[in-house]
Amino acid sequence: MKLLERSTVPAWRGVVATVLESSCGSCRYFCQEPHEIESQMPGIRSLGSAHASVRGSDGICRRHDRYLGAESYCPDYQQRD
Amino acid sequence: MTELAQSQVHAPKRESAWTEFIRKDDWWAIWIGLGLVVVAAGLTSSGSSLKWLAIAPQKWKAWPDAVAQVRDHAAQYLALFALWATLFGIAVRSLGYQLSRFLPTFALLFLASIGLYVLGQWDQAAHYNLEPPLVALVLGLLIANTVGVPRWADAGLRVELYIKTGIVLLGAGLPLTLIAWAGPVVIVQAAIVSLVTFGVIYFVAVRLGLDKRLAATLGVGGAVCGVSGAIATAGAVGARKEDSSIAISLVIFWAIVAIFILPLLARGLQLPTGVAGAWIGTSEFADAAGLAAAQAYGGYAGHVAGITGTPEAAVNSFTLMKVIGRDVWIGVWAFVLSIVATTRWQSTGIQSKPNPAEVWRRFPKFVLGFLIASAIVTVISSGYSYADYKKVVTPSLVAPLQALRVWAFTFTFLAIGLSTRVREFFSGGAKPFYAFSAGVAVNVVLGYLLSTQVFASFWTRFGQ
Repeated sequence: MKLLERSTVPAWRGVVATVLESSCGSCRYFCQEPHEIESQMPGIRSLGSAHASVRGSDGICRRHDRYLGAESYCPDYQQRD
Repeated sequence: MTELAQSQVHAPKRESAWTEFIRKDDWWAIWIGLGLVVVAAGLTSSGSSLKWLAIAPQKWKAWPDAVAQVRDHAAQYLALFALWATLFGIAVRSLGYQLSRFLPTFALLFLASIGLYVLGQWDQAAHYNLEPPLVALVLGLLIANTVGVPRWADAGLRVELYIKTGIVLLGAGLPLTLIAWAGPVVIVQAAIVSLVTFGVIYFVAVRLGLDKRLAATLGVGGAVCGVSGAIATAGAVGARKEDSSIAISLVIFWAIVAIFILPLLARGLQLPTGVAGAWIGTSEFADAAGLAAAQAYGGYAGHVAGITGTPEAAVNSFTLMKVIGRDVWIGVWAFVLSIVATTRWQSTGIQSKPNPAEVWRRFPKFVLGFLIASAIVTVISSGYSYADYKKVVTPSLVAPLQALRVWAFTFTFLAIGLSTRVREFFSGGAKPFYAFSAGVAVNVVLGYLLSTQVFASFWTRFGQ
């Protein structure tokens, strides 16, 4: 498991931000697999599809139980093996 | 988050851009639909036609005649099955499903579709309300919710793949000039209904105390693009997984109710087919559900007293309203709401940076296939006089593609019912239901007023 690299943005912007090494698309908690998404949100199959273009690269975050874009990021990131 | 912080966030690992072309059902609908259009056009140019393969049952009065028809054309039905099974088989294999699961399911789907297509050609079908889309849906729902359908059969019940292929084929029957002529009305009508419906659902949901991300997901699901709208928005705003499922369930519930209610209301009001199709396109929540309703209503033309217009007009006006008017804006809705979510709403602890590239990434690509199919047939048709078009192009090119489209839609209608489990509805409590239902009420009334009053003359002319 890869350790997170953190740094602090200067306080001159009034923000203390955590900088993460990478984003959800490569996180071990993030699932983009269409079959898995369809099984976790079964209604999709009836009048939609997890293989549709409109889904973009979204997926399910198992850590936060949210459905979100692959470019999102958070402090709980863990590199996928 | 500051620029410094954002700059150090690496891009996620993505698959190659080329894999999009074989990993999304939108692109497979384009390859299959446009492939058939190109082959049909090539055969027409060389004096041949696809019509032997694109078998369609003819009108019949007595049951033995129907049986004889199928028996006499058994080789053609077999060839057609081989064609569809090959094309869709390649597609679902690329989408990651096993052929051993797809083929038996699709074979049963095809057999049931023959029965439904033949039933629709009975001269008394409209009299007994046996419209194939509605019968297919009821049959599928009954089987799925009584006997049950095993999960492995999902490989053959690809609603979106079938409906998108059908819509691409539908483009071949709509001249590009007609699409351009209808465009401004379609966009204005769709914009009005989308903005108002979204506003109503979002406002009611927030007033009821629901999370804004859920409110937005419900709103776009009801206002723009059904399940596709709900999942695109949920991903863009980072909704809870549970909220996405709630929105999807409500969309499906109301979409299926609307399949039966809208044609019934339109029939009671004796609306012309073009007008009814526009109303359904404005007020339905999903492409597949709406096409079932529109095709069912088109079947009343010429069979139910007082309903004027052509059967095709209902499907065509529906498609323009829903696909061109509403669906294509999904990426814009998702992008705008992602900005609002990141700048105005309470943080979820997960950061994201809105990216305008999402507008294209989420664009429903099958619409491109629809437009290209229309352009191909328009260009071919421009070389013929009207008389020759009717004599040559219609029977050898347009009619076979139309028959193939009806097959694709029939697979869709059966697959909707067979993949819908009623017990999955109503899992989200009363408040989301009230909010979404408020939007449904406004959507249906507004869609009726826009289609039958404000733009009535346009849609009536369109249907003729």
